[in-house]
Amino acid sequence: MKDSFNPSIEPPKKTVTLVSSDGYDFEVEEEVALESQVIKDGFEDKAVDDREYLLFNVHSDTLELIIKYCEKHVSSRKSISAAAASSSSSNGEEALKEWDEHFISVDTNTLYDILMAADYLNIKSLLDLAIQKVADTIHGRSPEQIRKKFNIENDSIIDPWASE
Amino acid sequence: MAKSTDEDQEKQEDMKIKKPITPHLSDDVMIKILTRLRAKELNQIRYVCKQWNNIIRDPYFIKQHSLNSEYGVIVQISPGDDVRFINMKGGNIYEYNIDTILKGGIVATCDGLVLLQLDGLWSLKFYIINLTTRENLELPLCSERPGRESYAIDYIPSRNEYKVARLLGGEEGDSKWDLACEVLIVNGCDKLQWKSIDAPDVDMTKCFGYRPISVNGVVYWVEYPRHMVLCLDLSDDKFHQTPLPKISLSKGGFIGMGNYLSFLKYTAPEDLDVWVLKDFCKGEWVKQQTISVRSKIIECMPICSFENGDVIVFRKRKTLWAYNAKLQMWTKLGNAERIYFWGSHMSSIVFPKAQCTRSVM
Repeated sequence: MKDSFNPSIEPPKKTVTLVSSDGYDFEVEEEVALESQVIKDGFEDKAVDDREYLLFNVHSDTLELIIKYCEKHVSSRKSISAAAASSSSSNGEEALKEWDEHFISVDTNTLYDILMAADYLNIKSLLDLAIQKVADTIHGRSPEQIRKKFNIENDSIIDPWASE
Repeated sequence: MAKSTDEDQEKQEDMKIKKPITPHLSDDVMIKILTRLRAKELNQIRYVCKQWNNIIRDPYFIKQHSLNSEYGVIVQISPGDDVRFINMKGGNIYEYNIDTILKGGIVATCDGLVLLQLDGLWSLKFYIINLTTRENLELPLCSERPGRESYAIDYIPSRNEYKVARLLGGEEGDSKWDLACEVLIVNGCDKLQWKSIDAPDVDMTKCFGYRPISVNGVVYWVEYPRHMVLCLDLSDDKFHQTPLPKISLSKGGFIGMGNYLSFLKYTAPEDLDVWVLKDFCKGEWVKQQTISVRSKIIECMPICSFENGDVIVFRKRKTLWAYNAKLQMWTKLGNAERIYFWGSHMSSIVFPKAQCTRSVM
C-alpha cells in the first residue's frame, strides 16, 4: 500500500558511511546501518554531516556481506508489515528464513568472519544465525574432525581417560 | 559500493590457509555457541581445545546450559537395574534406558547427578554418577553405626557447590538412636571427606520411612507424628525445626516446587491448594494458589515438579502422570508398578569430580 498522493515531497534518503578495516567506504541508507545496535547506540549524538563509522575490525569482504544481510532484512520487514496492513497473505517470513539459510551457507572462514562482525556490530539476528550455523557444524563431529574443520590447534593436554 | 559482489563467490575452503578460529572467538561468543549443543555432545567435544574445555567445565556455563536441557523422571525398578528415563522436555514424552555404569541402588538425585549405593556387603559404599557424561566419583567410606539412614544431594546456589547429606538415627523395635548428621562437599577444592555436623536433640522416627525433599540448597525431612519438618540449610550446615502447615495433612503430599518445600492439598474433587514454606527459619506457610486440575485426582501422590512448579508429576496407583498447569493438560508418562526409586533428572554436564572452579566471565 504505497502512499501515492504526493511522492515528490518525500525527503531524500539519509545515508551514513561505513569504512572497512582495509579502508573502503560503503555508503548505506541510515535505516540499514541502524540494524547494528552499536551504530544505533551512538547515532543520535553524532552530527548529521559526520555520520561516518570506522569499523576497524571488519574487512571489506565481510562488510559487504553484512550490508547485504541488513538491506535484505530492512526491505523484507517493510514488505511483511505492508502485507500485514493490507491483510493480504504473504509468505514473507518463510521466504526470509530461506534467504537467511542460503546466506549463511558459506565456507568456514567466511562464517567465522560474519560471526565476528555480527558480534562486534551487535546485530542480534545475524549473530543468532551465525551461532546456530557454527553449532550445527559442530554437531555430530568428533573432536578431531572439529579441529580440522575450524583449524583449531590441539592445545588440549587432557586425556579423557586420565583422572584430573 | 567500493567493491564488486561477484568476485569472491568461489568456495575453496580446503585450499585456503585458514585462520585459527578459536583463539579469536571471545569466550562470550563461544559460550553462546556451545549452549546450543546437547550435554552428551559437549562431553565429547570438550577435548577439542583448552578454551572449550574451560568453558564447558565452568559452573556458570553449566548452569546456563542446563536451562535448556532435557528433563524428566528417572525410575529404577530394583537396585542394580538400569534406570528408565522418561524425558518430558517440550511436552513430547519419550523414554529410554540409561546404564548406571555401576550396579547399585539410587538413593538420591540432583540435576543430572545420582547418588548410588552399591549392592552387596559394602552397603556403605557410595558413588556419585552423572548419567549423561558417565563420569563417576567414589565417595569415601562413611562411618558405620547402628540405626537408620537417610540421604540427600543438592546444589547450593550461593556457594556453587553440590553437597551430600546423611542423616542417621530413628528407631527399630526397641532400639532408638540419637540423630547424627554428616555432610560432604562434592565439587569443592578440598579433599573429599565426610564432616560431622551438630544435629538437634529431637525424636525423628517416621521421617526415615520417606525420602527427604531437597530444594534450593535445603534438605527437608518431614516428621508427621510431631507435626514438624527438620530443615538442614546446606549453605551453613545448620538445622532448623519448622511446624507443618496448620491444615489437615490427609489427602495431600509434600514436594519441592520452584525453590520451596510445598504441600499439595486436595480440596474440591478437582482442585489442588498449593501451600508453600516461604521461610523455613520462621515457619511461614503461605497458600500460594489453587490449581484446577480438571480431573478427579484424589488418589494421586505428587512426586516431583518442573518448570518452576508449572509441571507436576503424580503417581496414581500404577501409573505416572504429569499435569501442566499452564496448558491445563494431563499426560500419561508410563506405568510404574513396582518402583524402588523415582526422582527428577536432567541431562546435564555437571561434573561430579572434585575440582577447583574457575570463572570465564
